[in-house]
Amino acid sequence: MNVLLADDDDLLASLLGFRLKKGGYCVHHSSNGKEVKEYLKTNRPDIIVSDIMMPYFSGIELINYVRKDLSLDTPIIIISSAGNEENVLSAFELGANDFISKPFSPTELMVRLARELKKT
Amino acid sequence: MITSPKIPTDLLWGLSSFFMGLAVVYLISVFYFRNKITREAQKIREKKKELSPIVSEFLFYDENGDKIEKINYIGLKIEVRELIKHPFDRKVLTEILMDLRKDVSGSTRKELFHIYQDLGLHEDAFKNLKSWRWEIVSKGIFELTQMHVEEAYKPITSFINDRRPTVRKQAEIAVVSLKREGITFFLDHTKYKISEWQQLKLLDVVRNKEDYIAPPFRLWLTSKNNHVVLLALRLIKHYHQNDANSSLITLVNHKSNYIKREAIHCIKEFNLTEALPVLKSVFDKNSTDIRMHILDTIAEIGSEADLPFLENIEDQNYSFMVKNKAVRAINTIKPEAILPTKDIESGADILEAEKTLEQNTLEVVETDVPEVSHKEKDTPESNMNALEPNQELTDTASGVSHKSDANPLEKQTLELRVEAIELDGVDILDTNNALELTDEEIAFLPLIIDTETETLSVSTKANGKSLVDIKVVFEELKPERIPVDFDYSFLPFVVEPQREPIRNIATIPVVFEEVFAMEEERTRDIASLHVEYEQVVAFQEQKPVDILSLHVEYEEVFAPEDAKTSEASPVDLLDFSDLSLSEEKSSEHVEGQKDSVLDYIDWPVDFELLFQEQTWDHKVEFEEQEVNENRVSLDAIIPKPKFHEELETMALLENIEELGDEREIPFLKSLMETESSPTVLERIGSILDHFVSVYKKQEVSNTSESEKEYSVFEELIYKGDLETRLFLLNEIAQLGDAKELPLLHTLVSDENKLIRETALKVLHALQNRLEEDALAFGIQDDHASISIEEIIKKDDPDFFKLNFEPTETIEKTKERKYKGPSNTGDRNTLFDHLCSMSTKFYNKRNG
Repeated sequence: MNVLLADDDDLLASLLGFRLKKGGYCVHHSSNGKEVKEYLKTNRPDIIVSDIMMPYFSGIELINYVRKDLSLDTPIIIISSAGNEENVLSAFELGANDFISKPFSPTELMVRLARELKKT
Repeated sequence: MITSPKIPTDLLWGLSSFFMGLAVVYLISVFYFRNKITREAQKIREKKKELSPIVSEFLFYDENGDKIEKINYIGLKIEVRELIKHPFDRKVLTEILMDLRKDVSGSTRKELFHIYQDLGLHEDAFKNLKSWRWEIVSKGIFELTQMHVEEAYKPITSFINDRRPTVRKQAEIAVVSLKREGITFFLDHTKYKISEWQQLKLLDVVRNKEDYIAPPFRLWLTSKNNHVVLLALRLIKHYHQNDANSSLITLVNHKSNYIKREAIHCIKEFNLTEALPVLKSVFDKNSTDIRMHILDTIAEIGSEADLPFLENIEDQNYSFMVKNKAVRAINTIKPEAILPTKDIESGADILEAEKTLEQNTLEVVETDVPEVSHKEKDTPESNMNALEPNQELTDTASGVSHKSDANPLEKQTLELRVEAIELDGVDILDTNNALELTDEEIAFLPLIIDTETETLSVSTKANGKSLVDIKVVFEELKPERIPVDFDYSFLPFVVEPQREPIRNIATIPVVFEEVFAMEEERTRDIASLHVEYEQVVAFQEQKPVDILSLHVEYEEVFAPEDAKTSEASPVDLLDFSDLSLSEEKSSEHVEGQKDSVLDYIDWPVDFELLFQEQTWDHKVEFEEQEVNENRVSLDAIIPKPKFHEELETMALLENIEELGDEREIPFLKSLMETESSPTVLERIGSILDHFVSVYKKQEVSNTSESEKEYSVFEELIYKGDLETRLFLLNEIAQLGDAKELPLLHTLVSDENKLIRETALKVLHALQNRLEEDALAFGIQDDHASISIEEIIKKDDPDFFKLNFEPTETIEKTKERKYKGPSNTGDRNTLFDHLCSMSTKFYNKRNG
């Protein structure tokens, strides 16, 4: 299973990437919106895990891009900071499948990931 | 003549050069420091990238992982230990952990804290506490707080009364965060002011503490520090500790307005009615702000007995806000006790205004222009209450017009009660104002005006009466709304006969399905009867030996060819016992059988004999079996004679001896207790002796083998320096197993004294741990080791599936050559052998 991990926080991305790889996923990490866009032009991940706040291209824009421009129904899990509920609502309106609020347990992310993949 | 002063050009040049140089130095230094900071940031970033995978590896290390993971982990630990010798790396590692702490929760966060302390990074923070620079100390406290280093509690408590406010505030947060008793210590010891912001932060810390049991905060209401009293009051309110009523009432008289206010809030929160006299008594002494709080509280907890006090306030010369509050309190206690008075016209004024209006409207009627609107702008109420004369009442919100004759059922009479003034004039509705009425405002009006009311409305228009004055006689409407007297008596006669046949028809297919289900159940029962098969046989001990029953067993020999049969009678799998016997031996038994009475103790041999003897008509037998498929299971139902049970037991024992190992000892013991036949008992005894002796031998050999196993620490220890070796020895104490024992034995006689001593300690620790583990494992193993017979008795069909699933096992069993009972030492399970039996049998049959 290919996971696109979009997060500008390299530390957290590294941690999550490690956990996901350990869980048997193939992870591609993009640290900003441009990279995500480039990656999506040529690749089709099975699931996208994206932070809401990213340089150049926010998580909200990413959802919009995936759902409207690319017309993909790839599951998208949004990672948001606590107190960022408005953005989460926008994300859901645009077609995000799930969200997880920081701080979170990587195991919880794994469970949510597996659940979303199971749905598809 | 004015002459300009002579300035020596050299000096000017000199000054210019100096300032130019200064500027250059400044620019260079700016450039240098900027570059330095950027370089450092870059370096930190790169270091973080380098270290973050190591941190991830540590965080998600699985102790039950494979050997490679374990080696990696130990290697990384050594690497990290080397890294953290450098302050810069330590700093970066701390930063990484601190950053990750913000983003992760749960077990990962706990592991993060553990790593932080395990790598000794907290020692740096402890060093920071000793710094003379307040920002360093503050940073150290913050770090220790964030990483939950409980050991830091005591050193940090000394900063509670530090004269530097930043350090002090950080220490306060730390003390409250680190330990449950921190809040009590803080409240007991703090001497300084606790700012509002700090109080909020402390409240937040306390609120977010897990499993926090709040102490009785009333104990700090007597504190000499007013800020402590204030915080205690807030905590009392937050935790609803209403056991300090007297103290709260007393605190209403406190000098500090903050404390007074908080005490009043608590009184209001806890509904302390006994505080009302005190509140009233202190009312006059207090500021406007406190007075308003008191009035709020009286409004909340007061009764009608307090109305005179409130009315008195309203009458006296208090401030506007206080008076308003008092009126509000009165109206809260007794709703509408005081009605609006401001800008409300008196009765005489109304009469005059209405008379004028009457005259105007009459003129309007005379001119026969009903649409003429009359705008009353005196009061908003009058505007709102105007009614339109001969127009339909328009719902402005929905745009739906309610016609008077739209629905006769909805017709409701409108009776206007004109109390003060009886006017026959024309009511004029201001259309604009009518449009301002919302649905909610006119919702209470059941206004559907019929022809009569139309005339009425034309003749009695806008008297200047408010809508509130228009009274609706609901009593008259009620009988109209229930005009139909429904007779429900016919319902049972009509509905019930209709429903019943429908229900019956509907339920037919369900019943049909259930019948099928029951049939399936039965089939299953038959199939599963073989579970009871053994139990039935066990009770029929006295029945005579029936040689023919061997024939039945023979049939079951072929059962593995048919998957269903094999599953239906798993016990019969055990009948493939002495397949390794030679043909010569078999032929001897054939003769023996011809000449003598069958000795059922030698049943397995006889069974073999039968097999050999009857192979010629095997095909016939097989066909017969296929024709009567159900016969096998039906046979299983039929109780069998006692000798058959013994034969089975003996066959089972043979199999156990041949294929089983020490794991069958508990079962054999249990069998020994249940069996009564001396032959069987003797056989069990011999098998038990055999297994016990084999087990003891295996124990010895296993111990020696395990000791020879490779230890992941061995190479690392021999290559590492003294520190690494000591570290690895500690790791062995924590993570090591039996494989490390030989290594430790070697290290006990090491040249280095320190290594020797540590190795000895670790050896003892490891041995103790292994013993404990062994005991725990033994207990588990007792529960886990279920012998074949127990499993078969449970008749769990999945059991066989599980054993056949792994392809490797199947391949191995296919290749494995049976070597008799001595082969039990190879640690293959009994089930592996059983699985291989069928393959072996077919191989044998096919030459």
